[in-house]
Amino acid sequence: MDESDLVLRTSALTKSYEGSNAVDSIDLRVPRHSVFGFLGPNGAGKTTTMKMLLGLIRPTSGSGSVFGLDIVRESPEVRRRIGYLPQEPRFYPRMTARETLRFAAGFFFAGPADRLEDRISDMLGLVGLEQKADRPIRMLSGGETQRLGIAQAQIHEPDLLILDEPAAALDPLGRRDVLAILEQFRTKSTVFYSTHILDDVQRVSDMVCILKNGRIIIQGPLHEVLGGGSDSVFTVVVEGDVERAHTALLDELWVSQVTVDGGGSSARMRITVTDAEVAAARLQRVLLADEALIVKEFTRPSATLEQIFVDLVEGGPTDD
Amino acid sequence: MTEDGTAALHPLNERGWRAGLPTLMRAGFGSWWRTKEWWAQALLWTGIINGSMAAVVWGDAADGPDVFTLYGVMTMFGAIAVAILMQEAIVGEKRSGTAAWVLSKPASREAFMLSKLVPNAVGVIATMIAIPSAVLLLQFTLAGIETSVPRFALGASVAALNLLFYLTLTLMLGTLFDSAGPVIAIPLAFAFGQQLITGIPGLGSILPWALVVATNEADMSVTSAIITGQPVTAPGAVVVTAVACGIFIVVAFWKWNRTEL
Repeated sequence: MDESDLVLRTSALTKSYEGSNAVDSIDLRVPRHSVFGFLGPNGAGKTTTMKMLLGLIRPTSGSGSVFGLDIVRESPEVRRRIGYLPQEPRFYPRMTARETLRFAAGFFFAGPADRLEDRISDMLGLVGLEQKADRPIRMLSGGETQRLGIAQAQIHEPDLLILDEPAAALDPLGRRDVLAILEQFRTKSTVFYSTHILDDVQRVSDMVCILKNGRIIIQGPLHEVLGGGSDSVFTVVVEGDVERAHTALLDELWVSQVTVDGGGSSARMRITVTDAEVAAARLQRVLLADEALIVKEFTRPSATLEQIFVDLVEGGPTDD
Repeated sequence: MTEDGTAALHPLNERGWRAGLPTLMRAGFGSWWRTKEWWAQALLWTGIINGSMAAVVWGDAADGPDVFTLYGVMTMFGAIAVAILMQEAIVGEKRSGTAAWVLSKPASREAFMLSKLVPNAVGVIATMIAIPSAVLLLQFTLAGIETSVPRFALGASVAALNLLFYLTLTLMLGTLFDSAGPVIAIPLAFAFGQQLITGIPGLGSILPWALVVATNEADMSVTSAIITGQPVTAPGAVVVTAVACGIFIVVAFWKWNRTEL
């Protein structure tokens, strides 16, 4: 990945409380225009990491930058370019939704009141709160407060959105709307969000990072994570000269391993490849070069993110 | 930003401690003057102070120093109310997460603290001292009690300093503690405890208590003495209270800049 394409990066970023590392030397790499899913079980260090990026918590060691700006020394400049949705958004109960957006906008820009009100109305419309815009915050439901949180985070069209569990308090329709907003946002800026809802990550994210006990256990493009890393595995069931097929496959540079189950004239072959794209295009051609061979099944098993998350979190690094 | 409503809006570039200050100040003053808070407080304190004073003004001791002694004592209740009103100003925002939300914007911590200090100071002084004092001057006029307006204003300012002492103390405690218990308990314990310790030689004339209440060492409070044109016997209380306010403010800013949210 080209370093200039990164909008957010950390180097050995660490936060300790009384000798225990809540975030342990993490190296995050968030590319521009990505929707970056930041995953991990409760207490993994996701919120602490986000708060360090925002200057709300001071790192114990390590460093971080957003748009090349240091997250400690240049925090106000960093925050000028970020929109943030806290995990459980709380606003001033005396304000209405509209007043809350006016208050949030006041930190970023000034200008004619009618322009500002237009902008606020646009945001209220985006999150479907036009009808409740002038009700006090305390009269909004949890889901409506969450949607207001998304609107205030976007009020200044930030270059980076940091969202801590944006869909946690929403019903399925609300979740769908939030995912649609995230996808819209991809074209304009970058979204870095944490969530427990792995289905959502699989639907909208292109990059993921899984955190456990404050440490990164995997980070990369979603397709690589789903494929078990940079290597992908294909499964074929063939009938014919299995030994010759085995040899032909191993002759290909993009095949790293072939295992064969069964013997005789029919077998299931598990083929590990280094380049999934090339393999998808050429694997069957290689096998069918032997005209006597019959390919009875050809599959590229894909794991769900949930399976991978459970495997990694249960088998990843521990505190000790 | 050209076609979506932000075309004529221009980005703000406030730097350093001023970052976010206008917005936070607007919100801080708005919490007093754009809500029922100001008139509710003004009504309450006008009722308490001027209602009590009416009994004296139109009573037997109308032109004696007791009138002004009572005025000073009544403002002491305001000081206690300040501690109660302000207990959640910092702790409440830390606990609810609104402080973290606000400071995720390009706002400095100094601006945040100033927006708690200045609008609340103006709010409590206006509603608990200025408005009741103005009404009291009217009462004096109606009752035919001659009073020097400049001296009365100066005396009321000393009573306001007493309020500021409790306001800054409560704000500072809000930065030091994460629960409201000590933030309200310490100012109240100090307010009431002064009655007990003013008997200790040397303390009676320097504690904030002497600003509004007579003590063993000062038979007239600073406020009463100034309003009636008598010699001020406890000037040390003014200096000590002002210095204490300054120290509380410095500690509050220092601690707030180091608070993790």
